[in-house]
Amino acid sequence: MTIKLKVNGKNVELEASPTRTLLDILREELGLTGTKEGCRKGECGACTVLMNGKAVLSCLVLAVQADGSEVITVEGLEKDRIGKALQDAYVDAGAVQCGYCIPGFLMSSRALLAETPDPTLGEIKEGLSGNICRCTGYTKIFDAVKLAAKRLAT
Amino acid sequence: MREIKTYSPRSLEKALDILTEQAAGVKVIAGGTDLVVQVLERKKDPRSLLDISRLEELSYIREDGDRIRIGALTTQREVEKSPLVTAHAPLLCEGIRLVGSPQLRNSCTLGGNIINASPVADSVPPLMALDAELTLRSVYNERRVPLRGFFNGPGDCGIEPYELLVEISFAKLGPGHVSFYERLGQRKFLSISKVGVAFKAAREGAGLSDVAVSLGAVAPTVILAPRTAAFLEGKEYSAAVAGEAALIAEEESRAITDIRSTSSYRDRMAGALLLRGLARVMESN
Repeated sequence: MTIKLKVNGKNVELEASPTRTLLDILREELGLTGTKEGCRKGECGACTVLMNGKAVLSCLVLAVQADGSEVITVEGLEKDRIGKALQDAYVDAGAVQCGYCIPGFLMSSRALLAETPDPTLGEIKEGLSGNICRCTGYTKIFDAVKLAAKRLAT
Repeated sequence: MREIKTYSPRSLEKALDILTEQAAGVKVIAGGTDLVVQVLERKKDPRSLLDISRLEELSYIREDGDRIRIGALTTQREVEKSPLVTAHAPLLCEGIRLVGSPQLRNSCTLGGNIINASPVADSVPPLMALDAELTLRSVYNERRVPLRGFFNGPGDCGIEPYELLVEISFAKLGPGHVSFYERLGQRKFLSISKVGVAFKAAREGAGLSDVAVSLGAVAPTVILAPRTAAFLEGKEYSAAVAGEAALIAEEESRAITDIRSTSSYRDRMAGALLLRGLARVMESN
């Protein structure tokens, strides 16, 4: 079937089997390999993208269910005020170790700050509870979100 | 993978028509957070998929007199964040907050969590304690059934293949009610429950009435704990009364041993979670 999407502000139209996932389409059809495949069963958060403004797991969204929606991936964040602040803060706070989980963390952080501009540590932890970092560097990731929130508010 | 025919109707009427025509072999997909994994791993191999996620008419949270009505396709995240549900059924928000992760709850729906008929679904014990009612629609009829008694076993509930769940409703808890959902998982988030306990009661001072207790993950379906509830009915809360109630809940728990926990630990924890929750809501003010 023909799938229409708006990805990072660009309209795309492509042929896809309805049971391919949004993750497959982003990575394999559109070459947006910033979005990572981790567990492929909704447990790690590495594939998190924004779909119609909401953070979702792209490995669990079928192409047919994504049809017609607006998607933002990690590649689209630098054009976004909150996204750019988060990217800079992740770098400045040293939040990145191996980096595999980071695109997913950035997207969850973006969703969190859009809803809660000045989150408490508890709110940050809950907001990022769907993302797993196996380097276990959570503290600096929390610091990065706090730093981004501070910069966005001043 | 074999091509699976997919239907994405935009109206409930059309969806019911397709469901009736296709009958055998069609699998209904809502948020898809369980089904997509099962289909991709070939644990389920449907001939066709009926994607109902576009039926916006089934996404709502409404106040209707003394009841709250929730459309079956309302996402778990919307229910969890709803001021109406927070005010009138806080135990449901407590349960939903433990389902998967925020990203997952942006996709998965309240109706899907019910029809999936998993004994570990965290939104179901609160709904059972609330004595929720389900509205099932088909091209032939619309019927309302209580959630209590709706489940037959894991993955098996009382919906006909030609029916869709359209609404979940329950009576609001009043200002005099207390309620909680306590659960135990391997981690705080992103974990599947080993045991879950939902409780609601009307409270006057220390006195309890209109008590309901429901247990998750300790039987083939989410179950009520009627003897625990009957014991607490009309009693004054005290640590000793709670302790006795916990022992009864342990007896009513019928847990098995599996990869997530052992039966004896789960049974004991059913009591412990009841104690913990009662202390939280009864000793707080």
